[in-house]
Amino acid sequence: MTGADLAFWTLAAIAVITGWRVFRTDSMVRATFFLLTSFVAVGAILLLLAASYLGFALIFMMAVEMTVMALFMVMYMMNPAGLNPMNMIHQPGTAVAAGVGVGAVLAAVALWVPFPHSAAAVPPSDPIAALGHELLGGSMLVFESAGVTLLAAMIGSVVLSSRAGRYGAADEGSLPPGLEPGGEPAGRRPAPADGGHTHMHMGDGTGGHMDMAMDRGGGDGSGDHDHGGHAAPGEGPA
Amino acid sequence: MAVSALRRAAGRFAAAGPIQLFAAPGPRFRDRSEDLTLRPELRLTSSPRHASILLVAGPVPAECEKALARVHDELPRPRVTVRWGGGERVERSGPRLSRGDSPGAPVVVPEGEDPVPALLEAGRRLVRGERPSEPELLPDEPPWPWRGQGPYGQGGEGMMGGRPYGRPLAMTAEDLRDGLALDRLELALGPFFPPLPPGLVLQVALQGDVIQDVDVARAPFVQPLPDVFGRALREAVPAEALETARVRLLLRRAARVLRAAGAGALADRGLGLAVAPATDPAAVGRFRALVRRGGSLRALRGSGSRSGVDVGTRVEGWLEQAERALARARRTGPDERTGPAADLRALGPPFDGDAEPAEALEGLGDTLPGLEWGEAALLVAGLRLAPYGGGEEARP
Amino acid sequence: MNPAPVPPALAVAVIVGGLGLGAWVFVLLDRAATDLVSGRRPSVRPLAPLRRAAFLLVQQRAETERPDRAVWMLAPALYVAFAAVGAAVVPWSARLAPADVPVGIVLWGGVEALAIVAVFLHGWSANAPVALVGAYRFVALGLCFMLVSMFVLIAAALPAESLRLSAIVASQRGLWNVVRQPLGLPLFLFVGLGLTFRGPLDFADSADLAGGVAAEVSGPSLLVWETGRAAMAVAFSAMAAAVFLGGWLGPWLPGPVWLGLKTLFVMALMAGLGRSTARLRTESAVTLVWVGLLPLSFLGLAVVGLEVLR
Repeated sequence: MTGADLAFWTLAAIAVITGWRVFRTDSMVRATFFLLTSFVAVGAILLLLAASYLGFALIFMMAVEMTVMALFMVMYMMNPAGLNPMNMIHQPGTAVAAGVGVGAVLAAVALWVPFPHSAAAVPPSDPIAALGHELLGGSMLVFESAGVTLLAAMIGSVVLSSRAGRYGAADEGSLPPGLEPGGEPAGRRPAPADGGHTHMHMGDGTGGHMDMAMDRGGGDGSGDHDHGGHAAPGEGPA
Repeated sequence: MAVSALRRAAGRFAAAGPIQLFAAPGPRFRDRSEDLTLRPELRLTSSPRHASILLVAGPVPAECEKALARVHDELPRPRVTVRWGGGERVERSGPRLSRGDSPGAPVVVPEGEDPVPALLEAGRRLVRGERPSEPELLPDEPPWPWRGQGPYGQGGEGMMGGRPYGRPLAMTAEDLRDGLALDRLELALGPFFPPLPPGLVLQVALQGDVIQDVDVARAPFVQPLPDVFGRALREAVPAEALETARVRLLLRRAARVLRAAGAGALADRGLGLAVAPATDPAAVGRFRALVRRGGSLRALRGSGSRSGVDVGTRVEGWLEQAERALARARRTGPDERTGPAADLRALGPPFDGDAEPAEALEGLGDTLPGLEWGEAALLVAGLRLAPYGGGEEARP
Repeated sequence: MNPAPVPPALAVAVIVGGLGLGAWVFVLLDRAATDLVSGRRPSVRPLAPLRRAAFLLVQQRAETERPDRAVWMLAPALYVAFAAVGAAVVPWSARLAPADVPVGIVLWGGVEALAIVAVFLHGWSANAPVALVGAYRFVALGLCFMLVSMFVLIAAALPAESLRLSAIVASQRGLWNVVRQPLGLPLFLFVGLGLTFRGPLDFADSADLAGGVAAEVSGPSLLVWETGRAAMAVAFSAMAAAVFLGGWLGPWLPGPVWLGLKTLFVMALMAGLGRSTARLRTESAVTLVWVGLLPLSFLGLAVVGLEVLR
């Protein structure tokens, strides 16, 4: 039993035991960080397998994710520390059955699926470059741009869904300022509360755009009407 | 045996360093206990758990004694209480510490004296192990016993029935800013909470670190108006003395806000200038430049602006007025006097920017909700919430 | 040629000793900075941090009601351990490096993330409101500055074409990264202030929270916590010296001495920055990172990338 073998069995034991503790502990925050410990042990096993980038990246990502999860536990859950001795288990029968079933399937996969035997058993001289080429191949630029685009999309979706609208709180039907100081709000005016009637009326003239507005639950008069300049400016509330 | 010898050796080594002190100021003692931060042999801590001396400065009223007992028990052993200027009630309760007294005697310092020698003596003897630690004042048990009931011992019907340990489960409530329903935490920030003026008790409801609800349970203790201003309300006083006192007051207020903003070193500088016997205009100018160029004003700007009080602008204004007042003090002749002022506001800065303390306290219920904790602490540090009480006739 | 690994026992001894010594020096630098800013004459009292350590050893460890005891004991120790792991990646010279993993940058990112976990656990486990508020205020900013740190370090790894720290140091033979990537060191210093929660980013244990995360801690636990904060500052300074100031590169003096001098320089910068500015509001700090610093780090990355491609 070499040092690496000993390390592997220790880490495997840590991963399994902390994984079990995730479900048996009452404190949710502790459960989150037991899960983190389990992942860190798995990451360390990956390091033993000379997959250093994957191992450290796993540890890094899981640390951030578990921190966010712990924060959400504290924000929303009524008993995050498990101090109130209430029963925190729901549907125990179903859970046991599902757990045993999935565990059996995974064990069967691990034991009886023939894993491919690679002819090139020698680890590459530069494993990170090899990993990069293997994952991204010739499309590296596409992936990088896609990553930045995804980041922009996430930020944009958070901004769009936040309550702080551009001209006021978004759920109060904010209006842009007027073209003259104190004048009428610039741009298209939203329809008043009797929106259904107004929709029908304007649908004759402008066709497709208004249909879209109606499909989108256009009963309310507030948010959906800022399409910019689609309707004639003289159109006010009907 | 060896362990206790090591402990004593460590204590002797540690006693030569600064002594950690937690100040619980009572009425009329806020400025004086604040000035102790300038002493290099003492270190005022922001949490009672970091201190070994509890300094009870001033006549703390009886209704705050229970809170004081809780703060006392929060100090870790070895601990000692030093009472400074408590009036006859406290003086009668214990002899003064002097050489040769029994180690467990309570330490009392009369009002007019400098407390530092007594503090250092008591603190050093405590750390060296020559003075026994004071025992706990309150019993060390949970305030409400847990009564187990129900199938899981939760104390009542249903999943979350009952209140084990007397604490209800945190239930969700809508956040002020965007309606998101998060767990709500209710806190009472007590009379000796360092970021608040002494004596102020706030019942705060928090979601995250954003304040949802504020209720003033107890008004702050009265603090004295500097003598010159008191006289200026009744008679004509030398203009130079008035302006110099004004400079000191403005610098002290700016230092208070800077300390709440985490710039402790800058606050020490400002407080040092406020306390120094002669105010040097160059030094005040350097202080102002440091605060401005170090980025502190930019960091503070916008704090509390949603409630209409921009703390950064206020501090900037105070520093500017301090420099102008100093210039005026230099220009005036020794015989020039300013006439009696009609009321406090007519005395000029900083009083003309202050709201009435009672109004400001009531307004806290409107200004604080929606602010983050840091902003709220800055706002409270920048407002004058403690009413000015005269010297001798102030009742605690 | 990759540097040879140092024998583990020696590496551990040097790192632990170095962090201890560095923590002591950092506390002295911090006190000197405080004295300078508060207008007192800076007097170097070398025994003062040791006296404070002795005092904390004598003081009782405080108890709160129903803390998460195991985690409360563990969290400060974890913070120190992560500082040591982060410091272990820094190469000492061209031929010596304690743990020169091929992905040193990613390991440092992992250390930052785990350090945030340790601070959160420390505030959470005390079962006290003020500590909890400090903990999640810190996490809110932590998630932001970690991103900045990653992009800044990737930009430093680009000219070296490797994530290995020894390669990054070697790539600075002609030109230090602080010149090649001018935005790098200022942004990384911002990250360091956040990681050690000092100065403008002191959200975790600030005075407005009456001590925050450390409010309910006293005695030996507080000693471990304060040592951990100083040790993390030292580890961060070593990392900054290696990635931006050329690490062990330099004429005449041996490599480790240069590394020590550069680390000392960054530690002095951190101590000064930590004492001269008031704290930012949480909202404006987060806005600053997302709207200002993150795009700046992208820009820095683009600039370095263009230069490498030329």
